[in-house]
Amino acid sequence: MHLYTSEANAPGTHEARKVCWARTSTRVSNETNKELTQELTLKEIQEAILVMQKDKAPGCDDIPTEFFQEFMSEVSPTLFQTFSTILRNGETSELINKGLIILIPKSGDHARIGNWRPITLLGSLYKILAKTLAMRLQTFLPNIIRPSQIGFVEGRCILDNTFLAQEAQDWAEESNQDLVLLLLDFRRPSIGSSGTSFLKPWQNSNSAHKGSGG
Amino acid sequence: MSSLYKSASSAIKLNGVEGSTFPLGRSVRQGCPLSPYLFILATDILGHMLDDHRFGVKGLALPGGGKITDQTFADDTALYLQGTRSNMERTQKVLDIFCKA
Repeated sequence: MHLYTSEANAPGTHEARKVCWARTSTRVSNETNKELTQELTLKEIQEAILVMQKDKAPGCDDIPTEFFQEFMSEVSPTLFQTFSTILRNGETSELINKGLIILIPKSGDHARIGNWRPITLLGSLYKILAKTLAMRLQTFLPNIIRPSQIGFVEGRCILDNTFLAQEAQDWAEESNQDLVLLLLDFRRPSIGSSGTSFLKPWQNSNSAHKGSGG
Repeated sequence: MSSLYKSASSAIKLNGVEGSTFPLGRSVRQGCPLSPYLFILATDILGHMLDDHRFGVKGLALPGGGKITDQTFADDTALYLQGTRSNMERTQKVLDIFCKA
């Protein structure tokens, strides 16, 4: 994915990626790959424009989404040309791809920096292009993402998770299995971070107990 | 998609004044419609590793002969693990490799 390219040169990263990929059994078929990477269509772009959220703060270009929705038939052919060129050449300009980070006040004392939340405002052209690509990708996700992921995949429901969590604990008790429920938290990679051990609580005992850690 | 991420940049605006523009090198982009999908594609790999018999992580054995190891909603992940020390060590190994990648 190369989402974390800044850490690409950290020791062991390359090897770890190779192991991860070798243990991942899902591969996108040639056919799916062809469908995913084929050229954009005008219809796809128009569909994306229509589902964009209204009433959002504009980015650097100061153009709100509503403009594109109101004048869709006039502007979408130009967007189609622009986006096709971007994807063909594999690069965008700063004009399109620049985000503006601003601070939104949270509740509490505003003299404290912790009570401000930074958010990124993206330009409408960027958002429309990303939305078009996202909608295309979305249709393939039910076949790619493992069933245990409930979020962002169409047709999956959060209630399944709460139900399963309860059932799993009941079943563990009923079938007399020692179950450890480990709750993970994904954090942004920080420079020089090293792995920490969740094993410490077990250091002095040979058998594990039911509980949670994270 | 990589064309969008390759040239991503941001600037910070404070009190109406915009600072200098800097490139974004890592993670998924805040506010981008693609971000949730890219994120779950990347984290899905952890689930595959937990399933892989070569790592040998044991989950909760189910009546039908299957097992469950994990449940995830977006970035909230719960692992269901057999409570033995050796199984914890195997899990730690998987997490270490995943974190490094």
